[in-house]
Amino acid sequence: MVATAAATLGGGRSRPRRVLRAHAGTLGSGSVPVLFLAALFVYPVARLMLFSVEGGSLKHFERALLDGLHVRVFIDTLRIASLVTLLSFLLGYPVAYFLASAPRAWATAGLLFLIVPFWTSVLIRTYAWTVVLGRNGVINRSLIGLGVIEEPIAMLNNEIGVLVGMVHVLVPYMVFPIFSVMRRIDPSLAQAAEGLGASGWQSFSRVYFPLSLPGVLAGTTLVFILSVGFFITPAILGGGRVIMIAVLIERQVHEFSNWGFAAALSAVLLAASLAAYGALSLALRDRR
Amino acid sequence: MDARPLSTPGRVALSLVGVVKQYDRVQALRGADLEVRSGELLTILGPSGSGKTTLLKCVAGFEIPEAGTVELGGRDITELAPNRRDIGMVFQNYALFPHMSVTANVGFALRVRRVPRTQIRQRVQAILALVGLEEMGDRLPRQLSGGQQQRVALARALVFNPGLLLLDEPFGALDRKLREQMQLEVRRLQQRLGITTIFVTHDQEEALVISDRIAVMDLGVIEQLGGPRDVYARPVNRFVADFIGESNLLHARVTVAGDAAVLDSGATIALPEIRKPGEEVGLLIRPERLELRPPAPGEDASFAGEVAEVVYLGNTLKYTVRLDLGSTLLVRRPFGQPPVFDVGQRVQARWSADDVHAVRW
Repeated sequence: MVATAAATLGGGRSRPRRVLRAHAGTLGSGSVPVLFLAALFVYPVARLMLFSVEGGSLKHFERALLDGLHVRVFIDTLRIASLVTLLSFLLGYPVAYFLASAPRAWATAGLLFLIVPFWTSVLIRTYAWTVVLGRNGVINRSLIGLGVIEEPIAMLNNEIGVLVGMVHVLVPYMVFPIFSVMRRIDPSLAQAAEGLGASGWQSFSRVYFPLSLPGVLAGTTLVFILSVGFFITPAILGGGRVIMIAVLIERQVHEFSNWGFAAALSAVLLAASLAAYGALSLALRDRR
Repeated sequence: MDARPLSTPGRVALSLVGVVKQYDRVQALRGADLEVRSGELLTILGPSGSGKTTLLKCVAGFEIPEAGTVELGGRDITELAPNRRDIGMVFQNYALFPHMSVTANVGFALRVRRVPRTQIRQRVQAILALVGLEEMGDRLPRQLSGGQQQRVALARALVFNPGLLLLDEPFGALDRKLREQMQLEVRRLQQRLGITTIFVTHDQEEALVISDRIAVMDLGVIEQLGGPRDVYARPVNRFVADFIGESNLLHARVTVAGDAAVLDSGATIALPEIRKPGEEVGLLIRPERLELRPPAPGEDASFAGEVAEVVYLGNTLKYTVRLDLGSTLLVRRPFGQPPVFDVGQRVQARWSADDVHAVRW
């Protein structure tokens, strides 16, 4: 699934047009998936959006966009999502580079390490972090045992925990698209650059990195969109003290049964994600 | 040429001594020796797997040989990093930077050398004019035809006035017409700039057209180094004789007198020069050196036979003649010049003694 998403994002600008034409041309055979999507995706989302304007009033949106508390949650969400995206890039780019340039056996092993966690539930992986990051967790006890610190560092129920947990879950979404783009970069380009007098760094910064950018943009988009709407990890590792927008939405539904407001928050979240996607794919198009 | 003091013709520009390179268990270079003279175009010709590309990589610095030395302009560069070698290279697939315009591609070597911007612009414009692409500066590589990409790659490799130009099978991707045109163009450009050039190819025809000298490689060593006429007319061994041009190569043994050789069929052929008595040799007779006649009584019957195949090649006719004594001969005759034979006709093959060349078997 990730690979497909990555391929779609990394595939370049000709893609949407081709998809549109395909739909127009093969209405008969294409109508089944279209109906499927309409019934299971478009309709529920539309129905939810309708909740937000129930009674023809925009009061939920007013509250979502103007109330100081909720604006802060939005800003926090965007800030955390940006941080997660940045950290995922800083960690993921070297990993992707290694996988793309390593001998085949190493690359396969590395990819396996990235894929295996996908077979484990996010919930379990997130709870595992509470064992690692807790006051009496592995990290704190090791550091105290080594005499590096005296008091345990608080890494749970705050932003550190949320960042660690989210980056852990989302890094593969950064690695795969970058890897798939890097693998298609002709290795003789680096030789050509070097032969023309470029140092290793010049060859990387002027040739390799620009050519890997489509993958970076695709990975960034994926990770950013996923983090903006992330729920489980911030809910568990944030311990109620790090409120991201998805946590807020869940509370509105679960605790207050305020479907209208929850729908309005969702609509704003969706709009923000689409805007981010739009901006990044525009940037991607200019690059090519 | 006078603009380039570097190119004193005849001086040794590049020399390789005993270069050995091993990949896993395969020895790609088994002690290759080579001297390239300043200003010449030297072709390394060999089949795939002969080690010619490895040799080029050792010169460019993408491979470091296990033994031997590489010297450029008197300086030992055996282990020098590629970016310090001052060598321009055109890759087999051109390796143009796909995200850069033609101008940016060509100017790359100057930018990484921190040449001032205005100077870069001038030099890039000048070299693009030289290869006839001054109007294409803003295009991306993928918006160019194969021939144009080739020229960009050439311009990019030449713009920083390198001491040596390497061309790695650069015409492989072009169709025949364009390839022939580019061969002549590259040759003219190379002579005009007087730049020492190593050209790698597996195409012997191409090598004959373009080179000052040809180094024929096989199995990791250079078998013969000489001018095109030399390697064609006087190959040193069976491999070279067979690899360059079409050939009739007949196994024979030199007579006691040393002035003739006896074929497997028992026929005797006079040799143009004295060889060691009893030596096993291959007798090379190029197909265009053979003549066909209707058989006449009293002639040496060992070169009589029957036409087995005739191929019309536009300017020549190619005959396959099956000799009565078993072997076959390839014969090429200019089209329109009698006598002409059909399949099944009896013929007598003739040649002059000078056209026989004996090589080690």
